[in-house]
Amino acid sequence: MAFGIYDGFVDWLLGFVSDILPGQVEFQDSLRLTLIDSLEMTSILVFLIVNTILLIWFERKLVGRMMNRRGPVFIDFNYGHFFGRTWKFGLLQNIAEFLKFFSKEDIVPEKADKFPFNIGFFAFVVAPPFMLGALLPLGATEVIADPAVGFLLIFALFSLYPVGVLITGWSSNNKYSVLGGFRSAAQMISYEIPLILSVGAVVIVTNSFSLVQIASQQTNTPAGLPFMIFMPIGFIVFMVSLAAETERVPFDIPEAEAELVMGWRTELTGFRYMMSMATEYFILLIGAFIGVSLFWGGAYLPFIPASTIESIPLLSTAILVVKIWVFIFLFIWVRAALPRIRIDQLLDIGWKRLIPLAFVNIVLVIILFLMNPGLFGVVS
Amino acid sequence: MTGIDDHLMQIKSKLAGKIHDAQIIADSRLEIRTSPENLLDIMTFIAQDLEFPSLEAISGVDWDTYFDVVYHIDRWDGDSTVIQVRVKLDDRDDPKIPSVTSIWASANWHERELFDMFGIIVSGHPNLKRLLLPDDWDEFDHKHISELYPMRRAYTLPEKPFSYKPQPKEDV
Amino acid sequence: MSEQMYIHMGPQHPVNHGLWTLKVKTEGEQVVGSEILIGYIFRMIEKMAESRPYDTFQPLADRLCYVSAMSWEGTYIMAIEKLLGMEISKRAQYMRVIMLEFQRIASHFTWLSAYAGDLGVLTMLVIPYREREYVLDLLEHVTGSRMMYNYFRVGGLKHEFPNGFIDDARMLTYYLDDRVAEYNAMLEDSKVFMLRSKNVGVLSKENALNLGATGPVLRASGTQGDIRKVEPYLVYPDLEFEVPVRTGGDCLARFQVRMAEIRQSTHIIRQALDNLPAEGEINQKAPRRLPKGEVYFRTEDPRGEAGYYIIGNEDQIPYRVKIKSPAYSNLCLTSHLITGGKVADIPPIVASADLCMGEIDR
Repeated sequence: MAFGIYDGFVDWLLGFVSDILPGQVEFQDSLRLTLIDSLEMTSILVFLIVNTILLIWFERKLVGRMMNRRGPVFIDFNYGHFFGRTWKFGLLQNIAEFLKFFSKEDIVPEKADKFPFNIGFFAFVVAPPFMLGALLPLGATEVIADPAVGFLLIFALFSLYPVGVLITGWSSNNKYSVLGGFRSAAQMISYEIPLILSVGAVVIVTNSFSLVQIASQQTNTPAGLPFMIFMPIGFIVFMVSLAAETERVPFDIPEAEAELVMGWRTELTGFRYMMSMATEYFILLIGAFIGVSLFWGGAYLPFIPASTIESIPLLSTAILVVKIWVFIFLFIWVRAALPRIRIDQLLDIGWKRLIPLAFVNIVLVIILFLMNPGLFGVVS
Repeated sequence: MTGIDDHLMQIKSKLAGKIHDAQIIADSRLEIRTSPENLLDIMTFIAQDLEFPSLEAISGVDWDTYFDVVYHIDRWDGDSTVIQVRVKLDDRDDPKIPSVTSIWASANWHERELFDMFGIIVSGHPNLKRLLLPDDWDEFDHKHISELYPMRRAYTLPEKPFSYKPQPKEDV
Repeated sequence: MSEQMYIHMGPQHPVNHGLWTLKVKTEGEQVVGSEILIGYIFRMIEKMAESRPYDTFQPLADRLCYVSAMSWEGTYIMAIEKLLGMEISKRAQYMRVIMLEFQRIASHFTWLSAYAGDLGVLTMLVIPYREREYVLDLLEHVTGSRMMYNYFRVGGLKHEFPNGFIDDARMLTYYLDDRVAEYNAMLEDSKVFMLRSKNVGVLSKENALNLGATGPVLRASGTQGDIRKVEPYLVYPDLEFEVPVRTGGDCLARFQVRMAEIRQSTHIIRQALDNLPAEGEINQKAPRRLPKGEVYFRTEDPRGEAGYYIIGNEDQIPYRVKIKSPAYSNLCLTSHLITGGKVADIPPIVASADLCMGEIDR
């Protein structure tokens, strides 16, 4: 499992070093692997960060248009003046704002519990999503790590997030933050169950926890159609629970700005605030990765053989990126259209609607699977 | 309007002795003049027997030698009559009036404002403290004692308060 | 969590559009008590009115509420006219009705965007402002000012409508009708919006009357309380319109009442434009001194019943001016509505009362 694009470069680099220092160095094979791995890790980090920044821009622009505004306009490269107007899209707006946040003073509130306020935030809110990055496939073959426990690890890391939110909210000693933190904890704990149950149906039919394997199994279905077609209920449950897990509208209750100002992040300023907001998008991006791999066929397309996609370099990555953006577009669309719901209604929806629906989905999928395993890409 | 004449007749017959005077002062405006002792009886009668469910406003008027407190009471269902109850408070140094919050809950803030602006003590009010001015207004360092209750006539705005005259520009 | 804690919302907090403090006593997410503190922008406007010639107070009456300035100055001018016993021409009356109804529409649009924004529909926070801007453009065309109009005069109006106003106004009313239908589709068809609005902040009919609710809040609770019908002023008796009434008493009913009122207002404006007399003195001479006497005059503000209690004393300067503000009574009852609900229900309930701190603190 490797990208395969860095092998040649590392071989050349090592050969170059041994050429200029002949006979003095001898390279272990492990050094070569380490170099390749770290290059791959760097590339996925860059990929995720660039995508996050572009996503925030995309959302601001799109929501702006839906709201009869224009979104960010001015801070951009100079594309020149033609067709009667100056072409600017505000692409660099987020970079500018990141710089602004970084240049601000880092304030820890006087009344806050310093240790949990610092450690809780960075260890449990910021770090887990970055760890998750290593488990994501960047294409059909571009995978760094594909552990057999894939999902279990991802959801284990996911479930650290509410802990961090609760710790941050509670330790900042602000009433809004406390309420926001408790809301966040209640919401995430109750929505993790339908999320995992909806994923469970996929695991049952694929007999695997690995994102790569699930994605590639969707090429064996009739005409290569993705799982979304065969388990629509599961897909809906997954989408709703994912919106709740990532605190998107209509489930942005922990930071309901109308009554709780900024919810659990009220006391975060400057750099911390920026990290908390970026993490939220990061998690959304990771959620989109998972959703696309599970239900939309990952880096593969229906009607096109998997071998064709795999043979063209970076095509699968492009397909994946487009799918992820379409996936996230759905969330942005919902954000522009819906009000926020109340915490008790949210819990009602979670426990009384989504969990039963997830079980119905599992039963339906099992029945379908027993009738025709080929429907889910199992070659018998 | 037939309603207003009925109301006047009822008030005159049932409340005789408790009111000083009752008359129609304008289209659909009925004025009752009374003193604070009988106020609660009159208000209860208006609210329950005449069925005037809503209190609109309580205004204080400072007539230099005495205070008037004017209540405007309204009924909504098609009848445009507004009963205007005018209570005369003779004791200027210790003005007191009973609270009508037990009859109309909306009187709460109006009575607090009355206390705040005129210094009229509303006895029986559940939470009589300043509303628009700060709670510790009495402890402030005032230029004049009249600032305590600014809507009294004694408090006047400065001479020519709002005539703005641009000053001639000085040469730099 | 069974421990009680106080949450201060204000004076700077997203829930209060304006400066005031809501002190909420909570038990977890449950609100068990509340207190409202006001007075942050107390300007003694009543005292100002009592210290100057009656005609010079009118620009200050504009400042009572920046969202419905026209209706406050209109109420003041009409109260003074009633005290003076003046009768103004039919043409001026029709023009006043047109202006007041446009102001009502603009005010309701502002309310809608505040309400939707508090519920979290950020799209509807922005879009009603676009339509409001068209209305303000029209008012600016007439008066020269976007917000503080100073257009009414004792005895009529400052000047005539500009050329082309009638056609613009009529076109705008049709446009607004379309938009309101769109808003209804956006909000009332949304299940989440209904979840958040229905049965939230229920105010029964008896409570509404006893707590002094006025305007859309009162009408949403099932009382036909519209001064334009109860005690008509201007030419409202000649115009045909209905008073929207709902019986739910919740935030949804208040929303529906206001949306229906916008439709009724456009209907009124179109009739007034059709019936506008071609001739008529629109700025009569007014006496310099107020007679001895008093008047309690009330009109239907966008927020409810606006009233002036004016005592004249044979002087240029009124002896006493008392302002009865609808938002004052509606804010007072908000504290009653939020108690017993959830913390998350505070923003919609507070927003549905349609507050304007300028006229509450005065």
